[in-house]
Amino acid sequence: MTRNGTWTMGLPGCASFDSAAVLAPLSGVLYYLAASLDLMLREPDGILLLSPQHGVLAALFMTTRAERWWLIAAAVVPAHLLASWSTALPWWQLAWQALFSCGLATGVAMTLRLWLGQRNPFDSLREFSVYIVVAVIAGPALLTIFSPAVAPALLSGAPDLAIDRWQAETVASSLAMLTWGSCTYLALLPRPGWLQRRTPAQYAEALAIVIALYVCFRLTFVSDAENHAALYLFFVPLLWQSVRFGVDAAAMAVTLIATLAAAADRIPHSVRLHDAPQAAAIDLQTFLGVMTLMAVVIAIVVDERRRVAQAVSESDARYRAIVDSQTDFVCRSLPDTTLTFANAAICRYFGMPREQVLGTQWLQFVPEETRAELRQALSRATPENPIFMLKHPVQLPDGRTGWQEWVNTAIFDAQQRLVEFQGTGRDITALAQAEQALQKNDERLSLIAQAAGDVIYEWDIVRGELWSSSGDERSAGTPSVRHLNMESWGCCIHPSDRERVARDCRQALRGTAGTWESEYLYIGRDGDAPRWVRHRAYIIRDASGLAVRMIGAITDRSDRKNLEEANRTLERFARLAMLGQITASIAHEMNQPLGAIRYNAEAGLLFLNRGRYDKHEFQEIFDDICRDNRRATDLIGRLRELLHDHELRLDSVDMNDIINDVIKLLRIEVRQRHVHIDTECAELPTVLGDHGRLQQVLLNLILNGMDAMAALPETRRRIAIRTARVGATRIQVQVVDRGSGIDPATLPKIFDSFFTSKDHGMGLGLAIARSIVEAHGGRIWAKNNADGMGATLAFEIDSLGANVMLSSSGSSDRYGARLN
Amino acid sequence: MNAVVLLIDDDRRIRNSLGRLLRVMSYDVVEAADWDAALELAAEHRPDVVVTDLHMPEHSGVDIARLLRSHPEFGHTPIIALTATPPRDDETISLFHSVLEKPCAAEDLQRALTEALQTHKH
Repeated sequence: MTRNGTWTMGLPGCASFDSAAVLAPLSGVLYYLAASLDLMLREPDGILLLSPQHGVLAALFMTTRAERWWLIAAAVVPAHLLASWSTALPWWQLAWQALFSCGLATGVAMTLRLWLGQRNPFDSLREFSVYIVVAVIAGPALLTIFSPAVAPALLSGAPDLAIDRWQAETVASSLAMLTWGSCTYLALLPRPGWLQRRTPAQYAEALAIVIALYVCFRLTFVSDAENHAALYLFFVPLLWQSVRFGVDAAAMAVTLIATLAAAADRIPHSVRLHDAPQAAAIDLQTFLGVMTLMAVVIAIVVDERRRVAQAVSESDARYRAIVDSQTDFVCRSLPDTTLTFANAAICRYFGMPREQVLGTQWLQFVPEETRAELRQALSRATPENPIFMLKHPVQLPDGRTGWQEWVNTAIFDAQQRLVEFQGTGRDITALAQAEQALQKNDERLSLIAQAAGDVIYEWDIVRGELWSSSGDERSAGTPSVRHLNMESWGCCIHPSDRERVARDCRQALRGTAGTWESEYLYIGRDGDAPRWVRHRAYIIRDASGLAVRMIGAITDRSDRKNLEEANRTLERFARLAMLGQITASIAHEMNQPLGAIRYNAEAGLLFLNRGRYDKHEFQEIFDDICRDNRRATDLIGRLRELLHDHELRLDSVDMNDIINDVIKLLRIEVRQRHVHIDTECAELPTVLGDHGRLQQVLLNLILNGMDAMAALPETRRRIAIRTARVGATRIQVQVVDRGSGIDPATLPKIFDSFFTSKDHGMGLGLAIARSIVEAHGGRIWAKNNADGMGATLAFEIDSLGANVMLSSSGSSDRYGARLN
Repeated sequence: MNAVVLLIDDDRRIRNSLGRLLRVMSYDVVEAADWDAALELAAEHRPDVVVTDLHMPEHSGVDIARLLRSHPEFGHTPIIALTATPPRDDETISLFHSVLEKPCAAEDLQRALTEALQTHKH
């Protein structure tokens, strides 16, 4: 049983009186004093008012373990004899009295022990009522029959006398149990520091109460004046002390008053209802008993309340200690964020005393720009969804910005009105800083990668996720995670390389290699300009050798210095590729003059061998040979023009002638592909242009048209070439095919480098055509035919050579700009 | 009497020079620039041998050879093809008595013609 949380009472009294050396003399002395008091209090007429020794003895037994009771009894008997020797009663009667006292006390103590166990009978009203029943009523009433005053009268056949004596003995014992019993019991309980815990003010208060009680006592029991009001006055200091000092003080006070009253010379009229001395004594005893009961009961109730309140405040303190010892934040706030509770962690965090924190709106701690957002978040709480998380910056007292994370619960009343917020939070500044640092690191990596012109990436093959420093300035500084697989990566590779690179890479991943390297034409995702890139990667494998990650860099190879060279090479390559398509035609064109020369020469030789010297014949032969030689030389020149990347050589050229030359050059091609070419040539002024280059433009346009019709039935493969004057000085050439037309989505792109919709081809022919036309100051375009059949590719140039760019580097730059 | 050679080539300068050579070789030469002229001249002059270019606009030497082969009168007239890009398939090659790479040496042409004429006579 715990009281004041300072000591624990096992078996009451055990701790103090366990040793026989203390218990026996203490019992003896206490009993001797009580018995002496009993004798002193007996009225001369033998009327008994109070038997203190019964109460004292009961208290002694109650506070001692049963095994030790014999020690008390052994001390009590001689003490009784000693105290009562002067009464001159026979020894056996004295011994009986002593044994009776012990019997009554053990009977009461044993019954209480059985009933209450080790509980203190003055702890609560329940226990006290047991005490009343056992020690105050039943014990004395039943056991007094065996007292030396009652039993002999009963045995000698004087029942009236026996009843009178029984009544007197019982009431005196009951009153003693109430007063001396409780007082002794409580006094014997070990209560270290009981006096020390009192303050001087309490001592003064106690003194005042004692004086008041004494005054009341004097007025009631000693004063001659019959003062009824004084009787009620008694209750004032008694209640006062019961409320203020508890059951110990109450028991002490009532014991003192009862004893003094019993010792008083007379029974005051104020308590006296009967005249007969015996009845008047009972009146006094009743008054004292009621007074005692009232004082003790009130004291017990008040003590109980006090203990409950103390337990509550202790548990509150413990709870608060737990909350305050948290490193996490705990707070409660009103709907307007005014704090009504904040634990120590919050106060420490903001470096403010609790009083200052409470009453502050916590939004004040948040940077201004974040407040509106938080207010909105708070307003979103509903009775259905009262729990929400917040993560926000806070202004720290040292001016820095910290970060906090909160889990808040909105509390609503029965009318669903928001009453308050409860929240637990923590400081996540370090976490936020780490996140920022990580992000900064990513940015830095990305910037380095951009500075190096590289794309650095990490590809999680298993999850199909890609982290890459996007090498493109639109998303500078923001590394992005995208989903990537072979297909989506393949889309970034030019179609001419796609198959090869994907195959190589798959092979490397399937094998055991730790690295992979390739070079290819990179076209990016959204129509970015193509670049030659070198792709190097490390392949990271799991324990079973399965490739799980790939970390690599894609380096741009087409740097500025190599660009023009690369472009020229590409252009030349494209031209060669184009010529490759028409080798049959070229061979034929070349063979015609060479053949003619040969036949003429052979004929001349034969003439000579046969001795025929026809001068006229020889003249014709040599003329023919010279002409055919020129023809061959012209052709070679044109091929050189087509093959070499010289600067624009401007001459007056006839576009219709150029068209005829090209058709001638394509003759064999046209026949083999079963294409029919119609020409509708208008009368044209000569234009200032490069014959070879313009041939090249036409060749590319016609070859493109022929390609577009490859899938058509032979009879429908027709190309029309039309020339026309536009305005005063411009001429227009149209190449119209009857193929399937151009996808409108790709229409704007078909003159871009490396754009191709064909399975073969590099996507350079039309790009080169555009760069040549633009170098001539003209423009080139494509459109689908109005009848839905095929497309028209057309270009226009100025006959006077307006806007011609004379420097080839100019053209190369323009071309280069596109390439890059 | 000299053998008659039908020379078919769309290129006038080839016709001039090759015709001249064949004449020096003592053949009678009739020259045609295309399919129509060739058929007309063949009917008129009944050539002993045909020398044709393979690559020509409209109808190629192969077309003409097929036509002659199926013709009741010229089915057995030997045809010599002159070409810069000789055909590779046997069916086409079988149409001709011989296929010469252009430009060919006079001796080769002479030999081919002689053989063709001998074959034809038998």
